[in-house]
Order: sequence, then structure tokens, then C-alpha cells
Amino acid sequence: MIRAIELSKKYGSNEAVKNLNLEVKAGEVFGFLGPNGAGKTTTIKMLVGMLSPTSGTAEICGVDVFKYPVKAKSLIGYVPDSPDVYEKLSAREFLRFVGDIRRIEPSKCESRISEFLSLFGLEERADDLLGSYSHGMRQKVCIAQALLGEPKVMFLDEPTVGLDPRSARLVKDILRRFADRGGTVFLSTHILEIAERMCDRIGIIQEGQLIAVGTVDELRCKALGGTDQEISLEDLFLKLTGGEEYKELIKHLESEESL
Amino acid sequence: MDFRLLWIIIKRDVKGSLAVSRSGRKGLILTALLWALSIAMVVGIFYGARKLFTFTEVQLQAFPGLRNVLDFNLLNVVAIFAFVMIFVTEMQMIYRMLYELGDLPFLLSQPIPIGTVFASKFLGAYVQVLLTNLMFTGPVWVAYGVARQAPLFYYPVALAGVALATLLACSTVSLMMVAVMGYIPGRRMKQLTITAGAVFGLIVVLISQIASRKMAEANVLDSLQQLGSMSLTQLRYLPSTWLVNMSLGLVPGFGVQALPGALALAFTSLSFTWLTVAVAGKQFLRGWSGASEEGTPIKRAGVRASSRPGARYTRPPLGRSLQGVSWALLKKDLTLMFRDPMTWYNLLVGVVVLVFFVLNVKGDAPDTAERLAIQRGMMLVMPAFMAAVSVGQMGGVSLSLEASRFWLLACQPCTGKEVFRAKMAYAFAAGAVLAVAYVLGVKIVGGVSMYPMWLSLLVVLTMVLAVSAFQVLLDSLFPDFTLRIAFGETKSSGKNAGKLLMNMLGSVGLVAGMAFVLLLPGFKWASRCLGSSALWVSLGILLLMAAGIFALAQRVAASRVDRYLTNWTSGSGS
Repeated sequence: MIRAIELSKKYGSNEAVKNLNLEVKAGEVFGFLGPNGAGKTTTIKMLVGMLSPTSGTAEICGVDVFKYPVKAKSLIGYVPDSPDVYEKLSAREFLRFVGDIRRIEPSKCESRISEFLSLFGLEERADDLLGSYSHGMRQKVCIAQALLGEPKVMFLDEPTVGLDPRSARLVKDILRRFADRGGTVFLSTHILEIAERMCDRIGIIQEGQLIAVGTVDELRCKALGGTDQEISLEDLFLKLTGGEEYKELIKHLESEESL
Repeated sequence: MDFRLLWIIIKRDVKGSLAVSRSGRKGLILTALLWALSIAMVVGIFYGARKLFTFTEVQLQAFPGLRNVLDFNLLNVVAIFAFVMIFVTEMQMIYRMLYELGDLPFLLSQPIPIGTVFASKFLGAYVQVLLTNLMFTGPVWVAYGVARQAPLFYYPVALAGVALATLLACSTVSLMMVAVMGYIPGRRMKQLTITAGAVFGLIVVLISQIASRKMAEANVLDSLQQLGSMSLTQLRYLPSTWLVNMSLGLVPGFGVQALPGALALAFTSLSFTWLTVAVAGKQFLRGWSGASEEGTPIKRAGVRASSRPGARYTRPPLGRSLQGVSWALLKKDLTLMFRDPMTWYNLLVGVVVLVFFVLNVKGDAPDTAERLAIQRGMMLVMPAFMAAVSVGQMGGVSLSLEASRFWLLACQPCTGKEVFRAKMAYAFAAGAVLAVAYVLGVKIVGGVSMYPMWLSLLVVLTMVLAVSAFQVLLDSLFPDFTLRIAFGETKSSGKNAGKLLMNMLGSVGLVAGMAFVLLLPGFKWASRCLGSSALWVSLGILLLMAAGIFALAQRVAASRVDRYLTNWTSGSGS
């Protein structure tokens, strides 16, 4: 479903993504983890076809994203990290706009819009301008627009930021169901609990390089060199991304607090 | 009020505004261009005012009393004009400074008295209003001093008077705003002030019409005597009278006292400012909380029906039949246009200018065929110029205005050509409405000879088409995805104003080129060479020009948009 081949992106002398090779299969939920500025958003934007790579290529369902962007984008649903929407449109109008762009048959579009609005608990405020929505509500509208076109692949950049626990749970359930029906989900997140519970496989990127890919158990095994030691995903993440020094700082702060 | 904190905030604001002005070479060029235009305007006003005052000096040499009254009235009218300007047009800027600045949430979350936060923003607004006021009315006061050879101390006193009068107007507007904002949401407030601005514009047009009719009936000297016979000196309760008394009291021969006017103006201005800050200390937070209220439900029958459980929503036939990227974008842009006060304010200004032109277009029947051709051509060039200005502020920035929302287009299955068509249609629609209304208006009022209606419409729409395509082309070549044409913001943001200015100048240049072609039959050498077919040749060239510009714009703009769609980094689009 998703294939990245030697994908690289340079901004001047800064190499944001370096020779990334990756494959995500149909029905899979893939979690993309990494510290701030590691290249997660840049990778997602390239896979969506919104950003051209310096070298390499990417395919969605066998369609070259950079050669046939329109065809590839018709297979994709994308949720950005920041839910920037037209503030002077209502949620219903915004979704209709997306439906019109994607040429969804009007009556079907209307019924799907109603379905999503009710699913996300936005029915009551569906005709209010988006400018009056909270961050979390806008995030829900963005997720709804991504699902509206019945995509084969969903890309979500930090999808649960700003969502209340109930909505976050709902999003997780929706994405899981989407994958169970054969769709592919590619999401970046900082919330390791989401990655551990939801994702079939995880990729960890650091300084633009994919340093580890696999299931949580495979990554544990790799990090600990085959020992039977128990380790949380948080520790695993810190170990792989070289953030162990923070643990010392946390310990120090905790000891100060206890004093 | 904590003056130490006030000083800290002001220092930071000044530093911030200086940092904005250091925005690269392109930004510097645009800023320099804006400065050059502003200076040209100031010099123009000064020159015109000095000429007027010198003229009255010469004409009324034998009647010094009448000349004094006339001077007093003229300066009073200038002061009143400044007050009205602040009350109506500058109100938008004051609102933005007081309620919409991005640092307000931060400042209000700090342990700073609310009155101090308000005072810092009020001061910022006051400085901006004062600068604008000085730009428009300052040259008149200076011109007066130069024309009448006023003593040197006249200038600082007049300047202080203008500053105090501006403070009074600014604090009155702010006080009203603070009081009203507690009860009216921000969105409604914006609509109110914009409508007031448009009404003001219309009133100015009507007053100028009446004045020009009166002037046409009498000779210039009679008009001056009429103006002199109105005595605004009697209206002692007017702040404008205080201002004029304060300044002219120091000019020998006027016989008015400067001190009472100065004291009245200073006392009232400072009292109002104190009152405004005091009231704001209690009311400001309430108003600020409601400033971002946007939640007006969009009530429509169809929408309500769809909200009812089990009800089947029927979209209007137009909405159902028009699908696809171009239509969806056009529908969205038109919807946003009617919901964005600043955009339809630009249209309203266009309408006001249109009414002005239609009422004033008059001309005797020309004696030669060339002159007739020139007159007929000019009648069609004017609406094209108007459309160029309006289109520049709407369709000409519509791609840039996608701004941070461009991600939505970039992740959809759409092409640059489809986006170009939508933006093109949007730009064309706005200009075409104004241009057609103008042609119809002139035809109905019937003050001047025109080409046949079908030909006039064909020519005007061709020119608007070319201008629209050119504007969209410019916007695609030099997009500014940080552009924000918001309520009251165009004046304060140099980069925004520069982008709009570039669009406008480009289009006006294009219209000038097309005007040359259209006026060909009016040139003797052309009519000699081409004879009676000169008009058709010029129309042919015009159509070819428009088609060429459209084709070029479609090709280049579509490919540029394609690039943005596949290489989008938020904020830059490249």
C-alpha cells in the first residue's frame, strides 16, 4: 500500500530525511515515532505528495506519488498536524467543499457528512462557523474530511493532539476499524501509549534516518539484544533515540521534590 | 495603572515594529515604494492647499475680514474631516489594535493590570491614527502657515493642537468601543463599523455632488464668499473650533484668543483619555472575550432540515450540478467573500466610486470623429481601471489568501489548471459586475456618447478578463501565503499593502496599455492609415491581447500552482 524508496529531502544544507526505505501493507496501522524535528512531518508530506523529495520516490497502492500526484491523492486521506481550516465556513460547508472537490455523489456526500458529524458529536454545531470551534473540534473536522472521500490510505500527523480522552478513543477506534476493513493507516505521534496499543508496527526516525522498524516486541528484542528483560516503550524510545540522559534529569528532579 | 509595566510593553512593541520593517530586500523595496507614494501624497496635498490659500489671499485682498472667516472655516472643515475620518474609517484600525492583536492573550495572562494592557494598546492605536491624520491634514496646516507667512511658533502649536484633537477623537472612539463591546460580539461590531464606513463614503459622494452643482452655478469668487458667510467661529463648543482658535490665535490679525481653545482642548482630551482607560480597566476583558465570537449559526432552510433527525436534505440545484475542483473552489471563495467584511468592503468602495463616476460623467458632443472616438474609448477605459483596482484586492490575492489552508488543496486530487480556473472566475466575476453596472449606469444617466451597448459590454468584459488573468498570474508568480487582508489591517502591514499595491500597479499598467489600443481610432495618424476600419482593428488587437494574456496566464499560473500543490511547505508555498 505505502512504499518509500530511498526517499530524501534536503532544505539547503539541512538533510531533513535521509534515504528512507519503508513499506506498509494493507490493513496495517503503522506508527511513526521520533523526537521533535526528526523528520516525521516532512516524511508524511512527501508520502502524501504535498512535498517533492530531493531524491527517491514513493508509491501509494502502486501509484507513483510524484509522477501521478492527482491519482495518488485520490487514494489518500490526510490530517495535518495543525488543523487550519476556513474560519468563515461552517463544518458542514467545509465538508461539502471537500466532497465537491472529490466529486462525491451529492446525496452520498450528505449522508456521510451527517454520519461523521454525529459520530464526532458535532451535529449540534455543524452550522456554526469553524472560527468558533476549539482546537479539538477543528481536529475532528479535519479527521472527518480525510475520511469523507473513502480513502485507501490515511496519513495522520499527530491526530490526537487537542482531543479529549473520549474523542481520542473514538479516533483510535475509527482508525482501527478502517485498518480492519483493509485500509492502511500511517500516523505520527508523540503519545507512546497510542503507538503501543494501536499500531501493528512502529518506525522510529531520528535526524532524518529510519533507525528502527518492527513490532513493539521486535524492537524490544533488538534494543536489548535478545534478553528477557522487561522494558516499556518509553524506555525503548529513549534508548533508541539516545534520550537516556533525560532519565537522569527526571530522577534528579524527583529527588529534589521528595526533599 | 502601572507605568513601569506600561513602559516595558511599549518598549517591546516599538522594538517589534522595527523588527517587522527589516524584512528582506523585497520587503525593503516595497516599503520604500510605499514611503515614496506617501511622500508624494503629502507633497500633493501641501501643494494643492498652498495654492488654494494663496488664491484666496489674492482674491480677497480687499476683504481681510471675509478672508479671515474663510480661513477659519476652511481649517475648521479640515479638522472636522479629520474627526469624521477617525470616527468612521480609523475605527477599524483602532478595533484591531485594541482587540485583535496576537499578544493580547499573553499580556492578559500576566500579572499586569488590565488598564495597563489596554493603555499600551490604546497608545499604539493613537500613534497610528495620529500619523495617518498628520499625513492627510498636516500638509494643510503647514501650507496655511507658509501661505500666510505665519510666525514660527504657529507650526508647533498647530501640531500640538492636531495631536490633542486626535487624542480626543481616538479616546472617544475607544471609549464607545469599550462600552459597546461588552454587549455586542466582535463579528457584529466589525459589520457595524464597515457599514458605517460605506455610508460615510456615500455621504461624502453626495455632499461633493451637491457642492459641485452649486459651484457650477456660481463663479469661484461667489463660492468663496458663500463659504465665508457661514461662520463656524460661532460654534464654540466644537473641538475643531478649539483647535483652529488655538492655532490661529497666534497668527496676527485674527483677533481670536489661543489660550481658551488650547485649555479646552487639552482638558477635554486628557479627561476623555483618563476616562477611557478607567472604564477599560473594568470593561475591557469582557469585550475582549467576545471579540473572537464567530459562532453565528448559518440559518438556511435546507441546513435546518438536514439537522432534523431523519429529514432528507435536498441541496439546491446549483449546488448539486456544480461539482469538481473549480466549482467547489469558486463556491467557497464566493461564500467567504460575502462573509468577510473586508472583502465586501472593497466591493462597496468600488460601488461608491462607480456612483461618483456615473453621476459626474458629462461631455459635450465632440466636433470631430477622432474626438468622439477618444470620448467613447475613455468611457470604457474608466470601468476597466475601476475593475483593475477591485479585482486586485479580491481575485488578485485569492490564491495567497488560501494561506495556511493550502494544505487542504495540496492533499486533494486537483490540478493547477483547475485551481487557476476557479481563481480566474472569482477575479473576473467581481470586476465584471462593477464594469457592467458602470456601463449600464452611464447609458441610463446618458450624459455622454458611448459605443453601442453590445460593443461597450464586449470591450469592457474583454478588458476585465485580461486584467483578471493578469492578476491571477501575478498572484501565482509572487504569492504571499502569509497575506492577511483583515479588518483594518491593510494599512498597518507594509508587506500586505505592498503586495496589494504591486497587483494594482501591474493591472493599472495593463489597462493603460489596452487603453492605448482602444483609443487608436482617436489618433489622427491611425485614422488616416486605417480609415473607417480603425475601430475594428483596435478591437481585434484588444481581443487578441486579452486572449494572449489569458492563455499565458493559464499556462504559467497553472504550472506554478501545480508546483505549490506538490511542493507545499506551510507559509512559503515553495
